[in-house]
Amino acid sequence: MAVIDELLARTHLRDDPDWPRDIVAYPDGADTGAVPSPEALWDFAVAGGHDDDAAALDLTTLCESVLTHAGTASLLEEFDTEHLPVPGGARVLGCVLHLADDPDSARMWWQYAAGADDDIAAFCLYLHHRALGEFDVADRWRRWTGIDTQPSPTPLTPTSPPPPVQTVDVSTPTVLRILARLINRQRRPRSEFAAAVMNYVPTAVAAGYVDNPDIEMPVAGRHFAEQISLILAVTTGRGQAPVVPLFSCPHQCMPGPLPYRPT
Amino acid sequence: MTGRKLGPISDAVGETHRAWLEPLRRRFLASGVTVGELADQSRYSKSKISELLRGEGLYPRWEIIHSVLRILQIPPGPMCRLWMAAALEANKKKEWIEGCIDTAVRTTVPRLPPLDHRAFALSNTAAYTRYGEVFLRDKVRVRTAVSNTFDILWLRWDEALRSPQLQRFAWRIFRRTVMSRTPHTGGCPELRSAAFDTVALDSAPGADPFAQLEESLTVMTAISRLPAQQLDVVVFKHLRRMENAAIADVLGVPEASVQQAARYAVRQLNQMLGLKGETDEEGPFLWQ
Repeated sequence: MAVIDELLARTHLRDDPDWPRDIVAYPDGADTGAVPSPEALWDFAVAGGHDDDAAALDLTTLCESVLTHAGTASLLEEFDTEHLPVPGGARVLGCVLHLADDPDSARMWWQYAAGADDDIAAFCLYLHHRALGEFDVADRWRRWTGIDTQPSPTPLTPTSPPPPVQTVDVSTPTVLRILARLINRQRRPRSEFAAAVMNYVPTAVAAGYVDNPDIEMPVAGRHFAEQISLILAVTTGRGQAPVVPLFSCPHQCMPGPLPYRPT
Repeated sequence: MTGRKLGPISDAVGETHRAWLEPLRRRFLASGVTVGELADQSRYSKSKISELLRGEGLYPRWEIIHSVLRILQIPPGPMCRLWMAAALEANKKKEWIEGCIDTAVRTTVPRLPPLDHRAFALSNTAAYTRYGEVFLRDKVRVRTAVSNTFDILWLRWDEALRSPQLQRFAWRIFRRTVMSRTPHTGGCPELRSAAFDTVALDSAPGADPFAQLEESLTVMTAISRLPAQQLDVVVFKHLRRMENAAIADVLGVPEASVQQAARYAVRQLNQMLGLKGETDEEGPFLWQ
């Protein structure tokens, strides 16, 4: 072997060297976390990843499911303070606002709920940011939520009793995909309660936003909980409707987007 | 197209800024829209749009670029990531960058690259990463360079498909991205740090580590002085132990070219190191 061949053979580099981090900031911003990893950018093509459109569809399906869930009404009635609902209620509010096409307000309520360890809200945020193409933020929420964000790599096999099917993938993304197929909004209208809530909540939150200029969050207007109880009583015939002051909210008839507020 | 001819890109524009500005200008020129029309539709002044397209003045805010992208039908995702990388290069604070992005209106332009682009990215990520690691020596920086490359390629995808050799087109972009982030000494990329990562340094039984390090430093310095294609072939073939066929595939050249480049590289290295080659006299080792 020629000398040069021997020398070149000894230039073979290790596959996984232990590089110390440079203490001086790199000009390309690689150490600031501002640039997402290529895995986040390019691995969505691999089976199991969410692409933008799929994430948006899954989020809408999830919000519809949350809204029609049996415990939704009671969650919306529970408030910690006049303006702040319990975390579960905040999650429902976020879902309603998302379905009402107010994603910014929805995000704030989900963040509020996720801050109180509400896994579903964190999962909503994961899908929300994924749908916007914000993969690095989505990844942070994916790590935060306790919900499985990937389809099962190996199908789960139930043990007993003898299963009707041999293998099932019961991961959340797969369930959401199936639900999305099953929910045909044109054929299957929302329940009366869900429709009434969808009609009321965005307006009430917009009104609350006007009424409380010092609060950055899109809080619900006054008597929100009572109004929800009223809707619940009227639409489901449950209990007795509370007495709600007439014109309890001066801006109740004001629909549309939230007013501008400098940040 | 009517109106005055668009001036050249300012010399002060950095490499990453240029990476997104060039495809933007190309798309603008191909669209047939004038600067005045672009200004009218984006609701920015003509002088602002002209400055943006020439890279003059302060580093542009995302809002103005975003409004232009919508008109020119350019996907905002890859452009935004490149804009962020260039903003950091222009010493913009993270808060400034995030503030710009938050105020921009989101569009409904599809954010997924074309399927063939995604396939290309997936099949080349590993080889690009292995090359990038040799020069950048930091996993995050390597990932950023690879990601930026695929973003640039996405923005220029039509052009890439029309080029005679897609692999070669993409490789040039990647190489330029890596080299722009690699320190250079006397016009040659800095490769000496790789001497600390050799298998020989770790595993040679009973070998003197200092002698091995000294040898590697000298050989790496010589390799860094090779012409571009020979350097790339040596890096892949010897530093990363890849087969000629795989190297040819990544570089987008025939396998014969790889073999030829490897042969020339050995001859040059023999000369630089003062070794006995095919035609040369034996000479002293540089490190002796």
